[in-house]
Amino acid sequence: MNHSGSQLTSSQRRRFLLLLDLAATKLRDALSQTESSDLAELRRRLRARKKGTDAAVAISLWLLSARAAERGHSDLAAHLYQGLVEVVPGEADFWYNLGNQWARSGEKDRALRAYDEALRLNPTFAWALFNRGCLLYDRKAYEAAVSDFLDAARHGCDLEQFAYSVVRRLVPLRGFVTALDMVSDPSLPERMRGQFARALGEVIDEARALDGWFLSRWPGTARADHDHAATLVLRAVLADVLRDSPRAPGLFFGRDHERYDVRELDESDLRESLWYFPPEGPPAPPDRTEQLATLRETLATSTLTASETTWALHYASGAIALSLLMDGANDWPTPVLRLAVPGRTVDGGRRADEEARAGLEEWISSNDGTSVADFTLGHFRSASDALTTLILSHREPDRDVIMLMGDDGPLLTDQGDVVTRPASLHLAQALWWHVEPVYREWVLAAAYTGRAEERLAALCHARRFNALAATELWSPLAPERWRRYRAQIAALHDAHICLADIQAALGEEAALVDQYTYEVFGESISGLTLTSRDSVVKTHEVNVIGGELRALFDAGMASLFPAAGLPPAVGQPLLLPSEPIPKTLLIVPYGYLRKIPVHGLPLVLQAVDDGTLERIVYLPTASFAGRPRLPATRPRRILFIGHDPAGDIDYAHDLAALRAYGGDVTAVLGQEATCSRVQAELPHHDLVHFACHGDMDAHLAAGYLSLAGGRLYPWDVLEGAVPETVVMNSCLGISTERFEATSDGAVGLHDAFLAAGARSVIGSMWALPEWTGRAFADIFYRRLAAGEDSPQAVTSTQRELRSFTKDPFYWAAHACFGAWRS
Amino acid sequence: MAEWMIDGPGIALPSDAVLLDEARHGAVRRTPRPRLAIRLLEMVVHENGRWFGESHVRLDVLVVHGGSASGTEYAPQTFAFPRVADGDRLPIGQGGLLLFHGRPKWFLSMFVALSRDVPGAPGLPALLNDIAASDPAVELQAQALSLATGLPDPDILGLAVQGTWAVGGAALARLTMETRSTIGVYRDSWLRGRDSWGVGRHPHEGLLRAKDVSFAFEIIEENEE
Repeated sequence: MNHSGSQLTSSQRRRFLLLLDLAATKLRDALSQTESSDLAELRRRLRARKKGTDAAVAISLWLLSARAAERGHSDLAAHLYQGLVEVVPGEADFWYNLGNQWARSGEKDRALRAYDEALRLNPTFAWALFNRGCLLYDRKAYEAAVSDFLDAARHGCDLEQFAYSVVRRLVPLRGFVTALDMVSDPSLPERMRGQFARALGEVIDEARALDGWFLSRWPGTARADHDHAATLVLRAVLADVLRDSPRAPGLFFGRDHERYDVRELDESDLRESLWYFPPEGPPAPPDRTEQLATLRETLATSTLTASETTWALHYASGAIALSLLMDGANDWPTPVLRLAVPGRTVDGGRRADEEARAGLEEWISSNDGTSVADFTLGHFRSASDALTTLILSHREPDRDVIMLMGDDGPLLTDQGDVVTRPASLHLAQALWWHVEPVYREWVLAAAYTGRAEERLAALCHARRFNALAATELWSPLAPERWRRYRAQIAALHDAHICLADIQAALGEEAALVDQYTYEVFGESISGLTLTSRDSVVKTHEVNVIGGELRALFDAGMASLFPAAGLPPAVGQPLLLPSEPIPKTLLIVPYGYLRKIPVHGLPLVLQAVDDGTLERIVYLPTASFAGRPRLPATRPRRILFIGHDPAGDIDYAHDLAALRAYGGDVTAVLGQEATCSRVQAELPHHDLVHFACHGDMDAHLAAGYLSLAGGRLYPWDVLEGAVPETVVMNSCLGISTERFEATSDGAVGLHDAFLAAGARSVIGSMWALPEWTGRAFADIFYRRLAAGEDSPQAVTSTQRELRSFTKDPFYWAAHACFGAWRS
Repeated sequence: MAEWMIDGPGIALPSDAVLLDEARHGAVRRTPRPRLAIRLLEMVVHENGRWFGESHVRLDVLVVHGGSASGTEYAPQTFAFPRVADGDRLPIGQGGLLLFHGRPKWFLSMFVALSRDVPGAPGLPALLNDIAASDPAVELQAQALSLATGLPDPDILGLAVQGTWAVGGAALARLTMETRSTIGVYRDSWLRGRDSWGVGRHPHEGLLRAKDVSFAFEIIEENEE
């Protein structure tokens, strides 16, 4: 060891000897043999009062302090560094390290002084600036802290997680939009701005916890950098709206991007979860007027490249305005309007709320020129339009497969030890979960404004989005075909609703029931019954655990229907119209209600048996009620498709029934009944009857018919013209199966035939028994020959089938979709 | 009626719920019925019935199921194995011996009997002509026809399942008359919902022992996609 250098004073020699003795004891295991012997030699010399120099001591202190820091002996390391800077006072790094060790051992004042000295020696020392900023932040010297953070950034601080750490501290102080300023600060290095942008995206993602679901990024689409940048601006604005919405401790209904949640949260829980709130206590009641103005301005200046977030801006605007309409009603599960509702604000002041409300109404009136109701509904509609545009902008289905760990979903494929699922399924689920509250709250807004038309429109939009989400699974299709068919599916779910037109179409003899079901923590079924004279909405809470309806469908569906008939309790939540019973009942089901044979419910059967109710027709959306009428003439050109490799289907029986009905019947049987042959024949006929097997392809979320050498899928039907009347006397022609967590379900062949131009489609809602198939064909065509229209013939056929059996599994399988007026 | 030495686990009367499920799904226009193959994998004769030396043995297999719209289908087969000594493994080849190939419907029952072969004794297909006119077989035919063409009734399905056992018993009795002794007999029965048609190896590992014979077989579902 070199012992040259300045001489130590006696006092220094005593102090350093004590320090070195302590280090030698504590760091015995951390030193190499050479280091130990050097240290021993130095201690021996100091103890012997031999000449010792500051250089020799400095080297030892430097080595030992580093070892002590590595071993987590912060206090010892701090004292060693303190000795080091005494010997070598002009080295900024030593002061920085000293500051770090004091900070770690809780000596914040000493740490600050050390950083100050380090920065005095080297004013561009970015690490020291950042660390001092963190200490100042903890001491609530926020302005000074932010100044240090920005200086550190300007000097290219390359500490790991620097940008994230700064943004995470900056957001509670000044909000997301202010943090965004750093992304565009020209005084910062380009690389640093990019890091801040990524970090801000991450912290916005984190803000989704509890109830910031609308901050989610649009799933499944790779985007260019400039899209990300444009989107980030909008997301920051939205995140500030969330930040400015204080929440009170208590029972908390939340919804993150995956699930609903209910928790009892106290003040500390809230502060931990809502880390982005101001550090000095809960924020003041939000200035909703200012929020609306900001949202409006942001929407006006947003670019097309940011379209993946504009829906959320509209949603937030609508939700804020909805809070005005609700006026003190339960505020959940709309997160944005939490505490905008009186009684939940932190100051509890009613007067302030009323003033705020008045100001908000005035702002809407003067800036939008509309009422609060129109403003609210308009923004929800715009949100939905943006979502439709977005989902239709997908260029092709996702054909990737993703590997999973510990997922027990039903659509998994087990390939050896690797469990996989289609990425498209993941996307379809994510899409629906992403946007479901938009539609639910639009329906809520329609209820508060008393606008039946808006409710119907909202649910049309919802069904359309659901159907498009399901088509994300149509992976076999080439991109161009996929986009074309999706446009057809979207057109089928036309969301243009004119209540007067629908009521005029219903006339005196028909009623339409638009059903809706939603689940948050319990399940509700809500139905709007529309007649030519009025509209009535009724909502029914369904007991999820013991509910007859839910239990029935959780238990395994149609095969477990009670053989004696569906119990009256099942029908109760479906909110069917009471007196007067119409001649025609139009059902627009939603979600899993699509699986329920409304035509088999006791109330409906009674009306059929009384001769009051003549037709029960299911529609894909309410807007379909005013669509084309049933064919005016009997079909002349009839196509019969019969195929069954197992020999179970007595399709000759179906064919005989059809021939007895009359017309020019083209029979395509057995191995002749290929998909291509069927596709070639369909455009040339008025009626087609399928007697074959059918099923649901869960992996593609599509129903299909089993033909010679292949399957007839919905996209095969969408390819060309189809007959006006379609009878699928096969299983699951009406594919109502849900796929995993999405609210609605697969696109069935019935949807596809209607989208392709069919007017009336008849199919089975579940596995069609052979007996039912044959008996149905016999009676149905006899009824048609007698002059009944197809919906009427389905109802009367089922009435006749009930004389053979009360078991709905056998008699109620068929359902009629589409046009209903002769 | 003959006594069966070994009953497989499927020889138990299905519950009402099982029968209801089977009746409802027995003939639906969903996916075509699966095509199954039953294959004998291995058979070891422990005692051939002679005190000393080799013996000719015969293996009789009867498979009964609901069949097509015309009623019950019977698949009887007789295989002859000459010069079999105690402890011999029957020479059935590496691929096993195909006992049945078809699409079962409503139910699937299998009856297996290993006997000493008697010169001139008719094979099981010929014996079955006699059995077809017997009461149990006629009743079973009527029940299967009713299931195929009428409204599927769980009670009739239950009777039909039991009917197959009666037919199997009649076949064994007739066989015993011809061969005068059996080395080992076995029967089992499967349903779609309850048993998934018995697809898999029987037993899962090792061999089944039925008196003086041990064996294993498997039921395979053909992939038709």
